[in-house]
Formats: sequence, structure tokens, C-alpha cells
Amino acid sequence: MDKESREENVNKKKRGRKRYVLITYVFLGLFLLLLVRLLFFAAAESEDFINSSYNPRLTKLSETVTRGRIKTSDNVIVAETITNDDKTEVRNYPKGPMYAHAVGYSVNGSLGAEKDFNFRMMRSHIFFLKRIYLELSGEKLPGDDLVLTIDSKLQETAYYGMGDYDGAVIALEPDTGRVLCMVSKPDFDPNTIKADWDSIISDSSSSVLLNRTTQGLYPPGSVAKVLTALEMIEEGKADTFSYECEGEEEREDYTIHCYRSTAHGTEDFASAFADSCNVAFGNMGIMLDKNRLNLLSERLLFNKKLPTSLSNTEKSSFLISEGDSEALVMQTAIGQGKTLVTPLHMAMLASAVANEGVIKEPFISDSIENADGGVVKTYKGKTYGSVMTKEEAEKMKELMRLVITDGTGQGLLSDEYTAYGKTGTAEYSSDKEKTHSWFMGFAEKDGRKIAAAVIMEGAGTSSAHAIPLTKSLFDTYFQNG
Amino acid sequence: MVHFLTLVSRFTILIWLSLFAYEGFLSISEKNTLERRRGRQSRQVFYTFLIFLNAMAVICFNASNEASKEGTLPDNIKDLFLLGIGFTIIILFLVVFNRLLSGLSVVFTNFCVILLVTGFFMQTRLDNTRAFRQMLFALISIPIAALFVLIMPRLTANRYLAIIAAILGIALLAIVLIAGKTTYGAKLNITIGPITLQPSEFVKILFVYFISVLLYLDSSLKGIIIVSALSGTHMLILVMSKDLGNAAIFFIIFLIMLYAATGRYEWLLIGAALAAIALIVAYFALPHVRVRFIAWADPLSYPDNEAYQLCQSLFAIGTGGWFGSGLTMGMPTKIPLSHSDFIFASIAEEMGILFGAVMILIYAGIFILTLKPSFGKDSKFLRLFSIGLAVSLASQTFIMIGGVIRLIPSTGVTLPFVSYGGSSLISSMIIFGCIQGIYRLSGTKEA
Repeated sequence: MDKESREENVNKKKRGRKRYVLITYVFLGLFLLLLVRLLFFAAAESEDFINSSYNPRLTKLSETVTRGRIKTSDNVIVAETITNDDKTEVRNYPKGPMYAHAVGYSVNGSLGAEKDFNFRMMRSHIFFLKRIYLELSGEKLPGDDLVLTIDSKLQETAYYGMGDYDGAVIALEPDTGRVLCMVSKPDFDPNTIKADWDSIISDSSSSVLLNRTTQGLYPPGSVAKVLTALEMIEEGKADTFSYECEGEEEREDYTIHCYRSTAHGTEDFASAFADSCNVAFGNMGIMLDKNRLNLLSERLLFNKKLPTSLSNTEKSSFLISEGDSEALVMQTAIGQGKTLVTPLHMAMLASAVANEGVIKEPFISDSIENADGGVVKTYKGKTYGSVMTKEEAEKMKELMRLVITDGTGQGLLSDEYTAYGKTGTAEYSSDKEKTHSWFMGFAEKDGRKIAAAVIMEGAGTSSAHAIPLTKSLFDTYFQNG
Repeated sequence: MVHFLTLVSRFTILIWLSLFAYEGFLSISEKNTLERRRGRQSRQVFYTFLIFLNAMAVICFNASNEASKEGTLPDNIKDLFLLGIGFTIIILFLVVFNRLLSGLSVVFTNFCVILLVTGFFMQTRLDNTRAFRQMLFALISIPIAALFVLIMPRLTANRYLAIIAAILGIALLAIVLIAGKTTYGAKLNITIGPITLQPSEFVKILFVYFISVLLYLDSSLKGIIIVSALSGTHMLILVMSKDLGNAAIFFIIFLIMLYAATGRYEWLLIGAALAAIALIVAYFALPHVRVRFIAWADPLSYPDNEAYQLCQSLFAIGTGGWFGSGLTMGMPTKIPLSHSDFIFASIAEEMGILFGAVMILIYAGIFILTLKPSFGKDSKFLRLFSIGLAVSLASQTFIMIGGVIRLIPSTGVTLPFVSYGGSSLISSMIIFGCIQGIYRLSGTKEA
């Protein structure tokens, strides 16, 4: 064999070897992929699967673990398991119906935080020596406690503020997304839910199990003017807008009214917003580009699942098109068309304005603690993203401030903090006298902020009902600063 | 107390297995003296026994706990009986392959034994009747594997034998397609008297043989076309039997061997493109394929129908967590096919995700060890043959575990050496025998 062919042989061998090296690496890469995937699943994805109500393992844990407690952020116990002398366990809710929808229940299926954090409270992260001791002595382990973001004083204020009205109150911390209170009425007593079950589910008219803050779909009334106003700003039509309001106006065979047909006179854009002038806003609706308005509504989270870890949220709906009649366009612009919104959604939009246009995903769980108070897991808010520019948020803020200083929301004037918002009086039946009382807005003081949405069903004007409730909510919040 | 033993054993068994893997990998990679390697390998054997005894102790104590509660004893005795049989089979296995037969890879034997052991105790925990049969299969497979070790030197690249292997393979798969009974939507088995066989497990080995012979003898375009036609027929029948997992495995084997024989990565690209087209067509044309994809994409939206099995698997693995629930403390039997296709989920639930992770490392080690004896050797035929076998085991492992942990859509294949089933176990053991035969033949210095 001469030198050349020998070299060729060596080269051939080298090339041959290269393929095997490549194949080896490809398959080792696949094994690595398996490993990474398994660990990723354990670290990041497993929680969703573990907490699924379809997971049959959850029932078995109750044999070895006593379900943990649920506390508010200021350490008030709102759910606990009491073990009787005969070792039977009863779930007790010291605050009764006040936390009915936020905390939920865990018999006959489950609801609320009891459902969403079911598995968390069925696990025990106590100190391992204590664990060993309890295991050896055959005792049940104390489950981990769930700490909510809810503040007990705000919850109490909201709950009693609702009085006998049905409706919903939800407050958020705009720069984090923490839910500060969540009240839905009518309510139920989770302590007696088992006994009351039949009457609760047979009563379809009041649907007490429905969490109206996240699932209640209401006509927004004038609160929807926030959307119309923002579109006016985006299309650059706000600065030049002016309209002569005579209290009512006829278009085709539809008459648009201002509240009590009050003539507002000459309204520019800002004063129309502050006075909640229906005639002016109805005409704005006609001026606007319907396609752009639809796009804006998508951006403001209409017609899509709200970005939040709260369960059972309904989608708000908004639809307008070029072909719509003038009557429908005007109605939609003042929140009386086919638009439906949830209180949570409105609170999120108020948060966005308060937070320079950025929406934080609302969440209700602050942390998980072991039975001795040691932190097992802390929940951090997630940023959804920006739904309007900083400048737009600033302009909306000015408008919403004007509502409080010069417009329909003067009941929220306070020396303690600066409030912003939009009132609403939404017709929900052919009877024009029957209206829901709405408010969405926020307040700030030295960088602390709170956003809220309030709806009181059939309560009439917002100044008489939703605003006083919001006022006491904001007062409570800033007193506790 | 039994509860406590169960909980502590999660950690001890994980430690034994990690040490086992550590010693094994060092023994493969280190350029150590024979003596040090022997030391590592005997420690591996020691950990193997420790794991088996530890796991079986937990199972027996828990069974006796249950029995004393219910006033029955037989199950407990059965478990003890299985402990004895399992122990004997492991010793027998180690004696045959590490002592009686010379020139084999001890690490390779150890790696396969640890998987057998995991299968033994997991089957015992799930159903001790099945565990007993699995142990019998293992016992039968010892002489079969030993036979293959011995006949490897006589295995030559014989064209006629290869053609016979190809036709036999096609015939066996066709019989399953025609006469097989449908389980879980696919035709996998044929039943002859009391025995149920899964021929595809054995056809896989014939498949690797005929491809390596034909490509070794003729890797021109004409040769490739002939091999492709024969292989394509195999895959077509498997697809018609709805055995998509095996169809995929056969395809991967074929493609990798084609690349290994020709060195032209164009084949890999063409193959990947063909696979992509086939998947897209299958997605739209075959409802049972689409279901798998739907389940894979969003299992939690279909927890009680399309994605039932996958969800149960992920519930099990997730709830078990990093260290598992402890043997007998989980609910693996809630997963359909928890003993075979989804055995990995059962193991991960009770032994922990970290235990599963070490198992994946051990499978990777087995892949390296199956390739090693033919690496750089002159016999291109044996090199092709062993690469086919290595890819067969590795792709089966990948498809199986990947399906269980939702890396890829799940298809029904078994986990080599661990899943319940005689065909699966014996065919894995034949591959083991062939590779050990090549070690012996090539005189690769102890690995």
C-alpha cells in the first residue's frame, strides 16, 4: 500500500468516525431534552396539574394532613379546620358570608380560593423534625396556610357598604395587581353551605354562587365613556371637539337623552366627560373610526379572557361596525349598546390609567406559609403589558380628575388623597327608571394607590350609592396608610 | 413507623441509585486501572441489591400493615416470595453475564440489571401477579440473551439471510394487522393459545439486521432503493395497524442507519422533510393521530376524554414531586397502562422526579455503551448492526418517556427493561445479548 492510499484510508476512517460522533451527540441531545423537560415540568408546570380538580390524589392527602387556614394580608383568619374530640374535622369560616366568594367553600365541589389553592393547603411544610415527630406519633400534619392579598378592613367596608343591594365591589393595587377586596352580593354562608345547598342551587334567579366581581356581566353605562374618550384622544379629535347640548337630541327615530334631559350647554371634550354628557358622547361615537374603536377595545381587553390568575372570569364584550345604525353607534358610545363588562375588568382599566397605562395581572394569593408562619412560597404579580401610552394615561387621568372636581363625582373630593374616576348609571331594562349605579376609578396619595370598581344593582344614580361606598373604601385605605 | 420507613426510603433509594449511576459513569469515562474499575463495578452491584432490598422491604412492610388491618396475610407472603425470586434472578443474571461469560462489559450488565430491578419492584408494588410473570420472563430471557452472546461471532452479512429476515418481518407484522386484536385503538398483539406476543418487538431486531447487511453490501443508490422499499413496507403496515410509536421507531432506525452507512447528511434532511409531511398528512387524515396532538397541545382542557391518560400521568408525576410520594403511597394505578406504557409515570410518582431523572441518565449511559464496542472498529457491518440496535433502544426510550412527560405526543411503546411484558423484555434482552456478544467478539477492553 503506498503512502497516498494509506492516507486516504485514514481520512476515510476519520470521516466514518465523524458520523458516529454526530449520531452519538444527537441522541445524547435527545436524552438531555428529556431531562430538561422533566425538570422544567416539575419546576414550572406541575402546579397546574397538581391543582386540577381531576387529580384523584388530592382526596388521599386528607388522610395525613389537616387542611391549612386562610388568612387576610392583615392576619385575620377567614377559614380554618377545627378537629373535634372524635377526630372529625369541620371547616369553619369565622367571618361567615363576608368572604363567601373570595374564599369560597370546600364541600359539594369547591369554589374561590378554597378551590384554586386546594392542594397548597393540603400540603405540609413544617420543620422536618416536627414532621418526623408527628409522623412517628401517628398524628396528622398541619397543612400550609394561604395568605390572601385581601385587607380585612377594606373587605369589611365594602361588604357593609353594599347594604341590601346586590352587586359587586373589587379593589386592586394598580402597581402590583393585588386584589384588596372582593365582595359579591347576594352571598351565602360557607359555614352552612351543605345544609343550604338545595335552596341555593334551586334558586336560579339570584344565583348566589356567581362571583359578580369576575363573572357578572353588566351594561357599563357611562363608565364606557372611558373607551370612547380614549379613542377620541387617539384619533386626535379630542382637542377640537365642541358640542351644544340641549339635553336631548333626535337621530333617525332614536332620541338620545342626558341624565334627566339636563341641557349641558356648550361642552368641550373634557367637560363632556366630567358632566357625563350623553348627547356629546353619542356624537363622538358617530365621528369615530369604528374599526379603530374595535381594535382599541381589543387592546383594552374586551372580548378576551382577562389576564389574571383569578379563576372563573367572564369575557367582557364590545362590538361596533361601520354598518351599525346611528342609534346603535350612539348607544354604544355611551355604554348602552350591546356592551357588557365585568367589574374586575373595569377595575383593571382604572388601574391601567393609575399605573401609566400598564396592566398588572390581578391575583389574590399573597403567599403560602407553613403552620408556624414560615414562608413557603411568595406570589409575585405579573405584568400583562401596556394598554395605552403614558401620555394617554396622563390625559385620561386629567379627565377622570375633572369628574371629581367639576363633574358627577364630586362626592369623592377629599383632603386626604386625590381621587379620579368615572361614574355610570346604566339602564338595564326597558324601564328607564331602573338603573345600576356604577363607579370606576382610583385614588392616590404619596405614591400609594388603590383602584376600584363598584356596581350596585338597581340602586339608581351613582352619586347616591356607588360614590359614597367608594369614598368609604378610599378613606379606609388611606387611614390605614 | 412503616409510614416513616416509606418516607425515608424515598431518599435512601435515590441516594443508592445516584451512587450507582456515578460509579457507572466514572467506570465508563475514566482511564483507570482495571482494579479501580472492578471496585466501582462491585460497588454498583452492591447498590443494586441495596435498592432492591430497600424497595421490597417498604412494599412488604406496607402490605403486612394493610394485612394486619384487614386480618388477611396472603399478599404479604406473596411479596416476600417475590423478594426471594427477584433476588435469585438478579444473582443468576449477574453470575451468567459477569462471571460465566468472559469479555463482556460489566457496566453494561449492571446498567441493564438496575433497570430490571426497578421494573421488578415497581411491578410488585402495582400488581404482584404481574410481577411474578415479569420475573419469569426475565428468567427465560437469561439463556436467550446468553445464546445471542455466543452466536454473535457467527453472525455474518449474509444477503439471503437478510432477505429472509426482511420478509419474515413483513409477514409477522402483516399477521398482526390481519389477525391481531385491537388494544387501546392499535393492533399490537397476536394470541396463540395462552401466549400473547407483540411481534413488532422482535421484528425490530430483524429489521436492524437486514438493513445493516444490505447497506453494508451495497450502499449505492440502487441498494438504498431496495432497502427503502423493504423498510417502507414495514412502516406502512405499522401505520395501518395504528402502531404509530413503532412506526416512528422503525423510521428513526432506518434513517440513522442510512446516514451511518452513506455518511451523507442529505438523507437526514430528506428523511426529516418526509417525516414532517407524513405527520401533517396524518394529522389531517387520521383522527386518532389528531387526538394525540390535541391531547398533547393542551391536556388540561380535555382531562376526561382525549387527554385522560396523559393528564393522569402528569397528575401522578406532578403530585409525586421531586422526591415522590414514597412506594405504595401514590396512586399510580389511576393511570391507564401504569405497568407498561406509562410505567415511567408510576415510577416518577412514587420514587420521585429526581429518581426519574437519574433513570434517564442511565438510559443515556446504555446508549453510549451499546455504541462503544463497534466504535472505530474495522467491521463496518457490526458497526451498522450495533448502531441500529443502539438507536432502537434509545429512540424507544425517548418516544416512551417523551410521551409520558408531554415532550412529544404520546404513542404506545414500552420502556426497555422496565415495562411489563414478555415480548418487550425478551427483545430488549436479545439486544443486550447481541451487544455483549460484540464486546466479546471485538475484545474491547473492559468498559
